[in-house]
Formats: sequence, structure tokens, C-alpha cells
Amino acid sequence: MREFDLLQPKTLNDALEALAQNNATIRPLGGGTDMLVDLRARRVQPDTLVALQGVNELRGVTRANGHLHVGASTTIAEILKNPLFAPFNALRQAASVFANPMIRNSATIAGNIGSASPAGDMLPPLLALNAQIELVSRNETRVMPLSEFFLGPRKTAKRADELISSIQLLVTSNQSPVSNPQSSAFYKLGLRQADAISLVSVAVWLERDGEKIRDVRIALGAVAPRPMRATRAEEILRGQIFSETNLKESARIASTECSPISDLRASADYRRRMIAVYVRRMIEQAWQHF
Amino acid sequence: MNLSLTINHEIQEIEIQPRETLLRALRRNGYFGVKHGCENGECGACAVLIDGVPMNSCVMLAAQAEEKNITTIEALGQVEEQGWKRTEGLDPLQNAFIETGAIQCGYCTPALILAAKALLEKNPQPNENKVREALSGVLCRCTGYVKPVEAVMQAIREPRVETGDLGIPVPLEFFQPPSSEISYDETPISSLQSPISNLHTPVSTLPQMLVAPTIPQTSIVGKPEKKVDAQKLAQGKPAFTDDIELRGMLYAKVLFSPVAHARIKRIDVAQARALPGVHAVLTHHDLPRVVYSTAGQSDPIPGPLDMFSLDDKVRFVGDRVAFVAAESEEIAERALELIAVEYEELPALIDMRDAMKADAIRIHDEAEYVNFGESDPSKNIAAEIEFELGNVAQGFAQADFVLEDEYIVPKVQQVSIEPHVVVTYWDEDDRLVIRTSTQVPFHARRILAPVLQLPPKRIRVIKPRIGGGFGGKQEVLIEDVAAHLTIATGRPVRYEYTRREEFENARSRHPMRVRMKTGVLRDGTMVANEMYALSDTGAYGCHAVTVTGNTGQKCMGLYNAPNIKFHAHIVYTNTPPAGAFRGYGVPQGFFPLEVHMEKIARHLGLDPLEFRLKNAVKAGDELPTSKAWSEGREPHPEVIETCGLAECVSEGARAIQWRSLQSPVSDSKRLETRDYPHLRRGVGVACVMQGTAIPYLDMGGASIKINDDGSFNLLVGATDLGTGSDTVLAQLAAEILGVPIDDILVYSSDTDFTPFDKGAYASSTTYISGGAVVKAAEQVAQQIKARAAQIFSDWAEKHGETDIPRTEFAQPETFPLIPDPRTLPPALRPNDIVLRDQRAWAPDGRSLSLAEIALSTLHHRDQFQIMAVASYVSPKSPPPFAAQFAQVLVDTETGQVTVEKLVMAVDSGVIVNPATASGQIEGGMTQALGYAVCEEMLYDARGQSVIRSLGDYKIFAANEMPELQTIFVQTFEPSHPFGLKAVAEIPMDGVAPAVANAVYDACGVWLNEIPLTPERVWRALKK
Repeated sequence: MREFDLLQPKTLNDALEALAQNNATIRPLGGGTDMLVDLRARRVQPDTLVALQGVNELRGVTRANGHLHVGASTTIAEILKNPLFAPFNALRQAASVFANPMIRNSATIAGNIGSASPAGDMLPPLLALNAQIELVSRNETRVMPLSEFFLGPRKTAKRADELISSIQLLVTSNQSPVSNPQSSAFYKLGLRQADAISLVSVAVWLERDGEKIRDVRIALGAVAPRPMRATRAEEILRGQIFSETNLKESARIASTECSPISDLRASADYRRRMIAVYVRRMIEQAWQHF
Repeated sequence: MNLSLTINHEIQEIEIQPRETLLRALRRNGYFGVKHGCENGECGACAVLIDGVPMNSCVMLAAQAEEKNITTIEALGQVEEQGWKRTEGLDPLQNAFIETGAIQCGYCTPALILAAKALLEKNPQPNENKVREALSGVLCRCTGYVKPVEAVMQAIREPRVETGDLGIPVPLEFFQPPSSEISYDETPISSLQSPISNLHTPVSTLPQMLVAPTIPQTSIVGKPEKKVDAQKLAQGKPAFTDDIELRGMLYAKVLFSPVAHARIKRIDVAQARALPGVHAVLTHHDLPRVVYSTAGQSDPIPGPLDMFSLDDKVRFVGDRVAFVAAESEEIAERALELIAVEYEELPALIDMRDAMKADAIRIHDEAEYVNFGESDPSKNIAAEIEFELGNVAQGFAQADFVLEDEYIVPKVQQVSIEPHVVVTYWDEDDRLVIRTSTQVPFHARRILAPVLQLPPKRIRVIKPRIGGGFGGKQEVLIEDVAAHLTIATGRPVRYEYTRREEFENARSRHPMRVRMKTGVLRDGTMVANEMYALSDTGAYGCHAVTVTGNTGQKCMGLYNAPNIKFHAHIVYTNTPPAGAFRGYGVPQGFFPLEVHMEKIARHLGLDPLEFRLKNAVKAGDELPTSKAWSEGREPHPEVIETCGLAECVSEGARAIQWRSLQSPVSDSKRLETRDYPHLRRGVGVACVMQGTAIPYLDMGGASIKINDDGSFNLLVGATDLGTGSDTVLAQLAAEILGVPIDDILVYSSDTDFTPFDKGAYASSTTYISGGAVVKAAEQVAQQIKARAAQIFSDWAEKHGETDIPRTEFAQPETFPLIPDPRTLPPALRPNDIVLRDQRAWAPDGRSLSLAEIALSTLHHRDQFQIMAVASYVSPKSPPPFAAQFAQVLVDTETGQVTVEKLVMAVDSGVIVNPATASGQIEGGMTQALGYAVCEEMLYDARGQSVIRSLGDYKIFAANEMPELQTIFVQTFEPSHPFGLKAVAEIPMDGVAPAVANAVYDACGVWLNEIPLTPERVWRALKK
């Protein structure tokens, strides 16, 4: 591990000031579970790290204006613990298979998003849940759909002077009579069933209207340079009756939308076929949970 | 920078570097219970509690712990009796881990206990799934998690309800089990993804024991005694190689080759040497060119000598180029970057099938190469083995049915959680001390002497506690690096592999391509059996002959065909060398053999169990392959004295409910529910055997001496690497000396203090080293009895006057009343005395405590030290036998195989300690399960490993385990005084074929290649 300076700001302003003053070799540090591995492997070699642990503004999960605001420093373990995440089944399913229970206690949601791995576990459910991401710098705050945030493997729309400050999820309530019931599901296929790098992962979100799927989002992980939405597959289902035929067709389309690679772990062909299997299974699962 | 935090309830201010991890900072400050196992937060050995929450201290900067409250294992509890002081004693979790046998090597124990502690603080009554989930962040390679889980359940103290006969559980949510069982919190997560079925570890994790009538009554042998080292390991005491700090110690790093095959044209180290803090940079120009083998085996090494500490040629990605010693690891790493190397790249030979081609590049062209047997480096052949018993060609001609097929087994790694680690230093007598995590301290000294140009008498090898080895440390792998650097600098040097270096540079299991050809008569009688193995030893030939020889010797010996042939080529490639790994070539042979047997049985419509037993060897048979080959040395024919294989098959079949499950492949394999149309369940079996030590070669020594209080020091060269051998050896001594195991103080091992032992391999320690302990203990017992008889006789002569002031005349029920001294015989013979309950008993009921006898011999009269040294070598290698069963669930849409249950019924002779022995079986089955379904070392076309971390190479965690069941079918092996045979390696042998056969049973496809990854199974299903 190369030498670096470590800053430990106590406020968001101090953190943003530090980021604004430094050049591109400054990096924020969340839980450290990805960063320390990257530092050791020399994938990143910053001159300065800004530890965000002491920045209270980045903590906390609050519900306001129909949205859940998830502070950047929220750990994966907290997603499993905090009842405010109850409506977001796919997110909690992903959290429950994220690395291992000890890593979940350290790793943060912003860290997983910021690493922007094509196989990042939390990313497909966040895409399926249509999460918004808030970025702050000394001069501005901007909010964008998470789908626009990922540019490629380990490449994001975040500038070096910016921090991820929060993730925002639209809260819907199954209890509310005015909104339609919604449901989501997630699955990660690995060499074993838990705690493994995913060969493929699938997250889906459904909004139901009687026997129809009123709206749907399907997100795929580990089968493209970045986590992606299978929008054409969604079109097959959107506004349609929930049926075996539609389901199969949507799953088939999803498998053609992605662009997996062949490597020593699995072939592209297999990954594609598994996308089809799991898109179908996850939609069935989400539908069953209404 | 300064860091203020609370460690174990004490507020502290410590000096740290910004880039220092919390793991490093804690260890530097003496908290050695926090362990290094990887650097990526994947093994969990570095767990600490931060404000009560378990976290990985290796992926956290020390600075991130500012103002936090840290708890390490050192805070939990201490042994209660500390001389005149009493402490509150051990934590209930620590006690439970000790009592249940949950501790094997103990390297991950502190982390497991802390993870459990954090769980119980939050949730005092967790169910088993929650315990498994909480422990799943800590990888254990020894136990299979059965006993650690049981320890936590026991610590909860609520009596657990026995679930009784579970039978076959209802279809589990294969890919979406109900979640409330798993999440910590109360909000249910619907459809959590986890393979956890509702595992119920039985109330007692001790195995089922079947006892042969010939087994004599014993009081300590056969009992689940607590491990003699468990107490220190539960407290996280500094017992391991790296748990010391020496003044002026330097840190070593090695520059590894980035290319698979090249000559080093030029190497410039001037800049690296000039870096402040660097004390030595060594290249092949600096070291003597001594050819050797790293294989930790007896002299002469049965294999080619083909390696140098540093060479001007590199033969795999990861081969050594230069050594650096510096004041810190960071400086040493920086120095590596400053070494300029110019390589002349050579064509790389990666695929073993290309090695013997006429135009293949020659990997070993060094003049110093020393051949062994049939090795021929000009053809890239490290070894060739061929034997034929009878005439297989004639056998095939007679056969009604001949089946031929090819099988592939992968390269896999031992993955001890403690990496290879060594500390070297010169002592005050200018002798080089090598403190190392090794299975072979005596071989290490002998092998290193010429390499370092020191006579063996100037080398002392200390083996402290070992954090697992599994064969990976039957290798003199990194000791030379630190030793050369200590010689170069005069300073202590520490060298430890990172996890990535383990995967890229350490040894592994030989991958093989195996062709089987078997001929049978219509009634299932095997008339000819032939195996050809192409085995890949990688860049160096360590263990090349012996591993693959055992593939043939052990596997082809199980079935007693009149015509047997084995032929193998062991070839060099430009990949990391393979070596010794638990099972030692035998798992590689049993996967092909036992899948092949299943195919034949299915083809002929024979019962797979009956077909196997019909052809398997039996007690009284000569082991067919014993006369054909023996570890590259002279073979001696051996008759099998004990074979419980038939009982193993019937007991195992009962446990897995074989008859009700195993049936012709059909739709009946569908689960009885419409919700899971894609799931199929099946069961499979494999019969296996191993050996027990190497006959006429393996030798172990032991010495025993008495202390003032009637306790004994037992010094053994045997190398407990977590297996429990220290405990088992202490039990054998305690049985003979009539004392509790606490009175036997075991020390292993140190080449200065303990007798020679060949080391921990070949399933030999209990049998061979145990034989030495028995002999030494018998001699010590004889000396005690002689003195006791003398005292009793003198006492009788003097009519009541005694030189023993505190003699107590105990009167146990079994003895008659104390006789009138005047009627006693004038003299007792030593053999009249019995040792029991820490006392020496005369036939008339008088007794002396061993302390009295010790004081008498050491201080009072005719003084001498009661002690003895003995050694043992066996003319036999009695095979243990086993039947291994697997129950699997196959997802036919995805190819995922979930192993639901593994049963192993094994004849290992008399079991000395059911807790440690079943721990060996459970841990071995778990490693074998990885071999069956997910472990595989992969290389790209340039020979670069794609496996770099425990994320890439998954070993099973506590929440992914199938149910494990162990059944010991005990026989009394007459070649050993206590009737025992080996346990350690045989569980590796049969899981992979049993799982593959179960997959066939479930869905009718054969898989000839392991591991059974989802894609392999899916492709087979698609055909």
C-alpha cells in the first residue's frame, strides 16, 4: 500500500472543501471494505483519502415527502435491520447475500455504488427501484436517476470534487388505498448460493393493477459493462395481463438485451440463459408476494 | 499520527501510520488473538468487535477506529486459577468451544467466538440458522462448522429439543427459502436468498460408534477428551508462528515472475538496495546454486531435484526472482518496484496435454537436475509409473462388458486459514533458528541445510501452533527466503504469504486427466481394471512420483480384480507446482473409479452397493497393489487384517435412507410439489480406502519423563497442525500411565528438544507417533512399577515402618480389606503393580501416588529420572475403509447442485478420541465437498492465475453447509497396540464421486468432470 494523507473531517462542508481543494488524486473513504482492497492491489493510488465516517450529515435514513432518504454512510447491515426498508424487498434480499455478515457491518451503500462494479450486488435492486442519487460538491447539489450514474466498469458520473450524499427511493405503501400494490425481488446466481461473486444477478419491481402488471422494471447485473435495465423486456409486460406466455417472452427478450462476456467462470451463453431463467422466476416471485 | 480508542475496556493512545490497518495496529500492540488470514475481509480471522459489532480489522484503517470501543478475544475471559489469584474464568462461549471439540487448529477460533458473542449480546436465544448466519463471516477450513455451531448452541444453555428422525425434509425453498429464519431483525424479508435449509445439528455432535467385540476396555482411549491445546486457543494466546516480535526484525518480500516461462537476461537491484530502510536484496547472483526439492519427505527424497532458491530462469507466473528484507513491509514492497528485470520470454506450456508433444518447449534444462526413477526432463516428464498385476488384455478379452471413459479432476488448494509464515534469527550460539508453520520440522532442517550451506547441527527448527496445513505445509516452501535474508543481514526476518501469494505461489492438488477401462462378467465380477493418469505437477516435481503413485496404489487396490494395470505420466507445465494435499493423489483416483463403478452397475442393472462389495477387498485378502508400488521405494506385500467396508456400506445406506430414495431414474425424482417442477433429488455412494502411514519408512519418536508431582512431560516430534494429534498422543500415554490427560504435558515440536518424527502426513501420526508414545509410556510405567514394588516390599519387610511419610491406604471397592502386613509376601514384582487413578496399586490394595513415587526417585533414595524414549516404525500400512453417501437437489433449469446431506461410515479401527476423529471427518468431508462442487484453480492462456482471493475461490461457510453425519465402524487392527488405523485423509476421497453419482440418480446425466459447477451440470442436462 502506497503512502497517503488521511483527512478525517467532522462536517460535510469540511469534507467538500477538502475535495474541492485537492486535485484528482483525492478519494473519499467510506467503510473501507472495497477501498482497502483496491489500495493494496494498487488499483487506486490516491495521495489523500477523506474518511467520511465522522460526517454526520451523511448518516441516517429518513422518510419525508414520499421518499426514503438513505444517507451515504448507511451500512448494508442497516438495510437489513431498519424497518423503513421493509417495502424494498429486492434491496433487502440483495443486502442479505452481500459478501458476509461482518463486511455488511462496515460496507456502505455509497461505497458499493461508488465502486460501480458491473457485478455490484446492490446496484440491480436500486435500478429496479428507480433510485435517485444525490451528489454534492462545494458549489452545487445535483440529483440524477441512478441509471444515468453508471458510465462503465468502475466509471461513474461523479466528479472528483463530489460526494454521494444520499440515495432516494420513492416510498409506496401497500396499505395505502390510492396507490397500486408494488413488489420487488432479487436473485444472485453464484458458484454457490451465498457469498459469492455473481455470475448473473436479476432484480425486478412490479406494480399491480388487478390481473395486470401496471408497471415493471427489470435490472440485470454482471451481464454488461455496467448494471443495466432490460427496457425491452419490460415493454413486453407493461400494462399486460400477468401470463406465462408474456413472462417467457419477456425473459427471452431480457436475455437478448444483455451483453455478458465469457470467462473462466461461465460462458456468455450460460449467463444469457440464466438471465432468462431468473427474470422469469423473479417476476413470478414478486407477483406471488402481492 | 496518534489514535485514541478503547481496547478491551482500557482507554489507550497509540501511535499509528495513516495507511496502517486496524489489524496491523492491534497486533503491533500485542493483541495477537486478532489473526491475519487474508487482506480482503473474506476469511474473517481478523474479526474484532467495534462498539459491539463484529467487523474485519483487515479492511479498516486503524484511524477509522478513533474513539471507538474495540473488543478482542483477550477481553473475554481467562483461566480461573492463576496461582494465588482467581479470575472470573473463561467466558461460557470459550468453555463451550473447548468442551464440544469446536477447536481444531484454533486460528479462526477467536473470530468465531467474537462473532458468536456479538450475536448472543443482541439475541440471547438465536436458532441454529441465526447462529450459522452469524458465524458465516468467519471461514474455518478444519471443522465443517458442526462443532462450532454446537458450541454456540450449548453456550445458550437452553436444553435443545432433539428433532428426532428428520427423514427427508419437505421440499425446501431451494432458491427462495422463507426469510424470517435468517434476518437478524424482526421485519421479515420475503424470499431471502440463502441455501439454508433447516439444519438441526443434533444435541450431541459426537459420532455414532459401532464397537467390535474385540476392542479391550480402556478408560481414556475412546473418550472424547478435551483437546490439550484448546484452552490456550480459546483465549487467543500468542501461540502461532507470527505471534512474536523480535528486536530489529526485518520484513521479507519476494519479487515474483510476471511471465510463465523466461530467462532472466538482466536484473538490476541498485535502486532497490539504495532505498532507505532496505537491508538486503538478493538475486540468483548472490546465492549458492544448490539444487533441491521442497517436498517434505524422508531421505532420500523420492522425486527429482529440480529447484533452486533463486534461479536465472523462471518457470511459472509467480516463480521467484528476488528477495528483499526491509524495515517494514511497505518499504520492502517499494523496493520490489525498484528492481528492474529484463526477461527473455520463452514459449509457455500451460496445458498438460501439450507437455509430452515432440515440439514442446523443455522446462527443465538445468545441468544440476537430478533424476529420480523414470523422470525425463527432456520430455517434460517428472515421473512415470507403471505396474501391471496379471494381464489386463487377457482380462478384457474374457469380459462380458468393458467400459472405457475419461475423467477430469481440477487443481485445488489446501487453503489453511493461517498462511505460510516463518521467522528466522541467529541465536547466541550462531545457530540459525527457524520458527515456522510447518508439518515437517525435521525434514525442513535436513532439506534446508545444504541450501543454506549450514550443517544441520547449526539449524534449529521450531514448530509452534499451526493454523492448518492439509499438506500445504508438508513443503519447505518459504523458510529458505527468510533464512537467506537472515544470513545476509544478520537480523531476524519475518516472511508471510498474503492470501493472493498463497493462490499464486503456494502448492496445490495435482490436477489429472484419468482414463478408466474396466471389464466385468455378466454377474458383476470384475475381471480387469485399468487406469491411466496424466498428472500435472506444474513447474517443479515436488511430490510428483508419490502423489500419483498413490492414485494407483490406493484406488486400484480397492477392487480385487485378477488383472489390474496402472500407468501414469506426471508432466511439467509452466503453472504453479502442485504438491501434497490431504488425500495425496487418492481423491483424484476415486472420482474416476467410483463414477465408473456406478456406470457399470447401472448399465448391468446391478445394485450399486452389492456390485461394489462383491469386488472389494476383504479382511484376509492380500492388498493387490501393495506388492506393486510403495512410495517410489521397495514394495512389500501386505495382507489386510481388518476391513469393515461391508458394515460401513450398510450403516451408511441406512443413515441416508438409501433404499427408499435410490431408484431408477424417472419422474419419481421430481419433488412432490407442483411449485418446484425443475427440482430433482437423488442419492449417490462411493466406496473408498486410504492407507495408514508409509510402511518400513515412516518413523516417529517420543520421550516421556516424570515430574515432582507425578505429572509427565511428553515430548514428540509429531506435528499437530490442528488435527488434535497432541491430544490423542496424550490420551495414549495417559491410558498406560493411569493418569488423567491433564497430567500429560505435551510439547511438539522442536528439532533441539523433541525426538525425530517424520512429520504430519500420510495419515500416520496416531498410528506411528502413537506407537512410539505407547512404547515410551510402557517403559516409563515399568520404571514406576519397579519403584512402587520396591517401596511396597521394603514396607512389608519393615513391618509397618515406611520411608513414605504420606502413604494413604485407599480402599476402593474392588480391593479386599487391607491385609495384615505380616502376612504380605516378602517382595512384589513390578508386573504385580497396576497404575490407575494417578496411583500405583499393589494387588493387596495398598497404593502410592505417582507424586510419592516421583519424589522417591527424584529426591529420596537411589535417585534417578523416570523417563524413556522410544520410536516406532511399522511394517504395515493398514487401510481404513469407508462408504460415503450424498443426497443432492438439482435445479434442472440452472444446473445448480445443492448437496443436502453427506454421510460417511468409516472403519478407522479403534477411535482414540471420537470428538477429534469426527472433527477430522466433518472437516475432511467439507473440503471434499468444495472439490466436488465449487473449488477450482483456473489459469488464463498465459498461465496467470485468475484466482487471487477467497472471493474468487470460495470455500464453504457455516450457513452453506449440508447436514453431515459420521459413523465409526470400529475394528481392532492387530498391527497396533491399541488397534487403530488412520482417520485424517479418507474423508477427502469419496464425496466428489458420491455427489456426481447422486446427480445422475437425480436427473440421469453423467458428469465426468468436477467441480460440478452450475454451467457444467446445465450443459450435461442440455445434451
